[in-house]
Amino acid sequence: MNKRKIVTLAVFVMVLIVLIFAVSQIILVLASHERSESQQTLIHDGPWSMEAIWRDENSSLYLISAKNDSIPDYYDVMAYIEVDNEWYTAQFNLRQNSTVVSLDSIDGDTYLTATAEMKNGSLLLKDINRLSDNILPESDEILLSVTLVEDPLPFEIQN
Amino acid sequence: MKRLCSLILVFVMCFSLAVTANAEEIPNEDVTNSNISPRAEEAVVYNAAWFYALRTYYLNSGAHFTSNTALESGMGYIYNQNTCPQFYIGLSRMASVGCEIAAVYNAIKHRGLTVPCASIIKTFEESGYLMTEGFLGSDPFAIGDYFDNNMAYQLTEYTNYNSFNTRVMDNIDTQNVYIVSFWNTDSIFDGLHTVCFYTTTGGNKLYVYNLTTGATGVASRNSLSSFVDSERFIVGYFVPRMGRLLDQ
Repeated sequence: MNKRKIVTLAVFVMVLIVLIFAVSQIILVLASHERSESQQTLIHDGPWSMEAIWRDENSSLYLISAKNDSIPDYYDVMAYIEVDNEWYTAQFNLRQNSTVVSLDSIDGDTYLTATAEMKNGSLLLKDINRLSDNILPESDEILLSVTLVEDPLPFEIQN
Repeated sequence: MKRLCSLILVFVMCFSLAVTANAEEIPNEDVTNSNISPRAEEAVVYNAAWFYALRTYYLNSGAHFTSNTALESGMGYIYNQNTCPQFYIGLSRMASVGCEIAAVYNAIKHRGLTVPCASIIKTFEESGYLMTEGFLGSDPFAIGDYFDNNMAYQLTEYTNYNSFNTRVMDNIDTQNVYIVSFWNTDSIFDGLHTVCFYTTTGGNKLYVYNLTTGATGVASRNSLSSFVDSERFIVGYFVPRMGRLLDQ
């Protein structure tokens, strides 16, 4: 291989490396922006945005939002989960810097985590990672929609 | 010939920089591969060198320091990066990329010293601890560098989840402060988060700053695994005592 070919090859490889590095950074930055926007959509359109009752298709999971006194336009969300005809209560939290939600017990355990997204006005939970057995029926996805107030609700609301 | 040799040398240097992302860090303690899931192995690949390659300096740190100092007035702990003053960090803002800064600020404050957030940000910007000029936040491994180069106290760094978990859970009923970085999901495109947490004497809980978007105080958790599991763990730090102990 002559000198000119080696130089051309070396320059080509270097340019390729720089290009791959630059493109990968651009992809990561775009993904970061998209994640940020998705989180803002959840905060502005999801259960954290208004006082409402959200219910899944099986009526075994309810989300009830109540005004957060310290953060303007933000609602804290409590989840009510039916397991074997018994209702359990948990906090429904949106993790910082992500679209990951978690069902956290009042005394410090996490029942499950999932990825959340808004879909046609409903809240879709997917990639469900159960950290506690049998807290929700086995399903890959859970779709929750805003529902009219039922009277009475099948559980007692915790303050 | 000299020109050719120097070209080859430049090529080798560039290549070695690019492949550091695949260099596996040797853990301090023996770890059998059978205990590491495929995802954890992937996390090992995305190690310090991978983050280091994304580090950049931010040159306009002086202007940011002035603006950030004006924003920071009588600030206590940072419980929520969305609701605290929206500091300028590189080309981004606190709510988007401030978790490492918040974790460092809270950890130092909790250990008895107060370093203004504006100063921490300035150091991160000037020392090249930001990733992609702040668009991707800060390098979690730079937290150790920050303490090594700017504080009289060094952190104990854990790159192995089991070791860090044992350190935390075996000392859950004593006063300790930690920082931990972890991936949000199995995909690196879903980003990472960094938090400071502490334990107290007889508390038997982990009290975590800045964990959720609705946080107005610390979140209490029974275990590390309730918010960081082995497959998403990046790096953990034990923060030593630095000054007088503040009220928790």
